[in-house]
Amino acid sequence: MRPGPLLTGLSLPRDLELLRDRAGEASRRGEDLAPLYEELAETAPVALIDLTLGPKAMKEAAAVRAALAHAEALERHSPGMAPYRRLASLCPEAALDVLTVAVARHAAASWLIPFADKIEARPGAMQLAANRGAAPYAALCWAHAAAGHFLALVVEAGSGQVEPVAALLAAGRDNDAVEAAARAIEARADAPVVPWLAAVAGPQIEDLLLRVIPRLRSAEAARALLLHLTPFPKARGVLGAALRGMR
Amino acid sequence: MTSPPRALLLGSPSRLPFNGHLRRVLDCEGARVSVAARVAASSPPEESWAAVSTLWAALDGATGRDRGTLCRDAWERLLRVDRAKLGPGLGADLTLLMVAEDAEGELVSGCGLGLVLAVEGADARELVDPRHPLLGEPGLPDAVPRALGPDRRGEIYIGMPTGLNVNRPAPPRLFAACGVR
Repeated sequence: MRPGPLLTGLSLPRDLELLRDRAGEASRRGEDLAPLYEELAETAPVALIDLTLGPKAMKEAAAVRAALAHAEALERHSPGMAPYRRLASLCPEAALDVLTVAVARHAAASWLIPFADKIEARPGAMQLAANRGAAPYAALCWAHAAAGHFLALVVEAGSGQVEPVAALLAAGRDNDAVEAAARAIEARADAPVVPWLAAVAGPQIEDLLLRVIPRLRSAEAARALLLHLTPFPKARGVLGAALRGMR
Repeated sequence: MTSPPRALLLGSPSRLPFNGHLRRVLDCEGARVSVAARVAASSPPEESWAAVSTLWAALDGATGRDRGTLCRDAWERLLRVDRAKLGPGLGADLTLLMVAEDAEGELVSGCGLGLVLAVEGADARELVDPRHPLLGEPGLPDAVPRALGPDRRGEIYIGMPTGLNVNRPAPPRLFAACGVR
């Protein structure tokens, strides 16, 4: 197979410096580096590592995005968080793409929690969404709560999940837990919010439930919550009255 | 109900410390019964809650003219529960502390208790020694258990489920460890 245009006449790793210059110029011209990286991944992985993660790695967003296509090869050289941290630091503009690939490849990794801090507008949102229904989901909710990712947990509850609600309450974020509880029930009427709140805080949660009720908008959500309120007569009465107003 | 519950159970050192916990107070004529229980605590919260709801419903209508009859009636209602509705353990993992009281005195009974503390103010003392029949293995009993009539009155009783190994804080943090908010 003949080498691609950027590799023509080069002998690697001897001509690495020259390759870096050629690739840099190509990138600045807006040329797609994917074919070059593809070829390097097969024939000269050390050169690929040098171009993408080395001390003089390419910083253009397109170059970083092209490198992400070879995440597996990069991880063989530098496992775990390291290649992603390096790529994100090279080009903040492409950092969200870097996180996206990292989450796709390591959905449950604990290092994604601090990594997301520097990248996402709502740190933790991407990893939480990626783990819905997976075994480590609850543990991740608690870990993100411990990291202070409260907004991501509130938003995540809007997908109908109850673990974010419980994690917020466990972290002492009662207001956020109340808001998250309302969002969870609105999104999925049968979301078992009461069992999870009680599992975290104990049977005496009527004060929390009384704060959830005014945030409910749909009669379906209110009716579903009512089914769980037998042990909470005051909340049951308030919700019953609210429900009559919703009809 | 404005006065604090007389029966509490310590939570477990886990992410969901009060999973499967029930707390209920029933007033009846001149007597009152306080129940704290834990059932199906290893199940997902949805399943534990269903078991809790079964116990809750079982206690509905408990009645008695004094602490003795109220205590017996509450237990008899619990003993009639369909054990298949108490989670995968069929009630064999039940811990329950019951305090029945009237103007003349109070009765403490239970199952699955490894320790019972009597708390008054900042003092917490062990109510009975480790070999006392109030303490024992978990599980819904087959018959109404014997009840203890403490000498002192007005204390709050805190049960620790058998096998639960936690460092118990001093009051008032002890109450928070029982989920008192």
